[in-house]
Amino acid sequence: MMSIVAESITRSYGGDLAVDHLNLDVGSGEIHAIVGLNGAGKTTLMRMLMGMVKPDSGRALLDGRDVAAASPAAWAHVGHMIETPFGYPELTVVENVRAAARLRGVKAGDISSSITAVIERFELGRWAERRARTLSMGNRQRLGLACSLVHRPRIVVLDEPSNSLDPSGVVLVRDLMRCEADAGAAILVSSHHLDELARVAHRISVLHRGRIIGAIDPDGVDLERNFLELVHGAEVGLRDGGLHA
Amino acid sequence: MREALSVEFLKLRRSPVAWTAGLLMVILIPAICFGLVSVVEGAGEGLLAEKVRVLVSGTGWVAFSGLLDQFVASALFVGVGIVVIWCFGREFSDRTVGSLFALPTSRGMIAAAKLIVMASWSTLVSTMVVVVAIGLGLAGDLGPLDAAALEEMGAVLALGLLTSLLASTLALLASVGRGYLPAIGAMALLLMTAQMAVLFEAGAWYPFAAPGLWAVSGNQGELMVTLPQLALAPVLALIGAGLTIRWWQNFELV
Repeated sequence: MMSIVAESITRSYGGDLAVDHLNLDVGSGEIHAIVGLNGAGKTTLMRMLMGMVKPDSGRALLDGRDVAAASPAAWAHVGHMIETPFGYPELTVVENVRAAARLRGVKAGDISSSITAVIERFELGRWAERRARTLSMGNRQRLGLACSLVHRPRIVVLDEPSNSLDPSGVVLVRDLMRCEADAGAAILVSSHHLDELARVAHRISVLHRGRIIGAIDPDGVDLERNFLELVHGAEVGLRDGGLHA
Repeated sequence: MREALSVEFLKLRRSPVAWTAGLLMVILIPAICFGLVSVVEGAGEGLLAEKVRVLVSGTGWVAFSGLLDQFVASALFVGVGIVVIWCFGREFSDRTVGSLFALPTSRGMIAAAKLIVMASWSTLVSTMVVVVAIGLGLAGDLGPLDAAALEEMGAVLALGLLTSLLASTLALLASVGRGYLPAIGAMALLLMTAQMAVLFEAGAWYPFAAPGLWAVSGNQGELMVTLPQLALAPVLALIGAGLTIRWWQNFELV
């Protein structure tokens, strides 16, 4: 059972609290989506879960072990794309995917078949020998996703994976997440597109000012209204709390 | 480690920065020095010949290697330094550094691979500078390549390797500075301070000046550099490499 957990995790930058005693978990076979306004803390949370940023307090756990002490073997099961997609401009699409596969510990004998499969999966065959610098934004995003998932990870963290993608790319990412979750992967995903998340997510948590302020039922109606009501309610609560204080 | 090395070698092979800097150094340093020696050897009377005579002592291979020493000490430091700064700083400037987290290949290993790749590339460039220089000297009839001439060219190669080691310390500055500009500024500052150290006769104890001083002086007279003083350059490079690897292992994205 692969899982990723945030236990009362906190991080601030200067005096600004980016993530505030946040608890979150993603289990095997589950797609857990987080939504929030710009600056809500989504990226900082994902960075802490991937060991890119150290929490001021609390813990990020990868299969029950603190990410700060995670072994290379544990990281070999993780795939992520947070903010900038993997892709060196001077390398071709195939070379980039090969580099990612090597760094992610794919066995030498499996590299060629992994590259072929992921390039086919992301429909990048036409551009396989093109340098990454010449790709469109959408194809760079596809390349980044291909590099993140070439090793078929069991824990996946994706920050705005459908950024810059055309409608067919969005469908492709959605199908891919569904397929990986069905195969047992634990997936944490963020997006601004509530409708898109509702189609794949098992749970949607709303993040605001570094805290989880509620959840949205993916099968519910008028998701945007629900989201905005939660955010508004949190703002009112904060203001009233501030006034009473 | 093998994985990180293969990826870093691939990036270097495809890098226009490394190819341009490498070819410029391998072609221009010997060509310019040979051109200047030819001006002096040709008994020219112009302004250029007058100026070059100040820089050159001796004739033939001695004059040629003396000029090479002066150029290698500064031009190779800048050329290798730029590629080292690119190799480390590009991960921040191109925003690819985030992809180097959460991997079974640790960031410390990636940094070590980068240093090994830079050391291999700069050794090749330093060697090629000397090989091309010897070719030019033979073709240009600077005299027979006897033991003395070979010793002079060996000193140029040693200077090239020591200078490359010193340039590798810029990896730490490109990493801590998270990009190109702080390290490029530091490189200019290091060049300037090396000149000043020589001017104030403290160059032998300043690692960034000592190898150049050792080669240019022929290790004779007042400018003599002792072995412990010369050894400060590789020691500094080793300390720099250790600190760079440690920094990469522990840094966080902010």
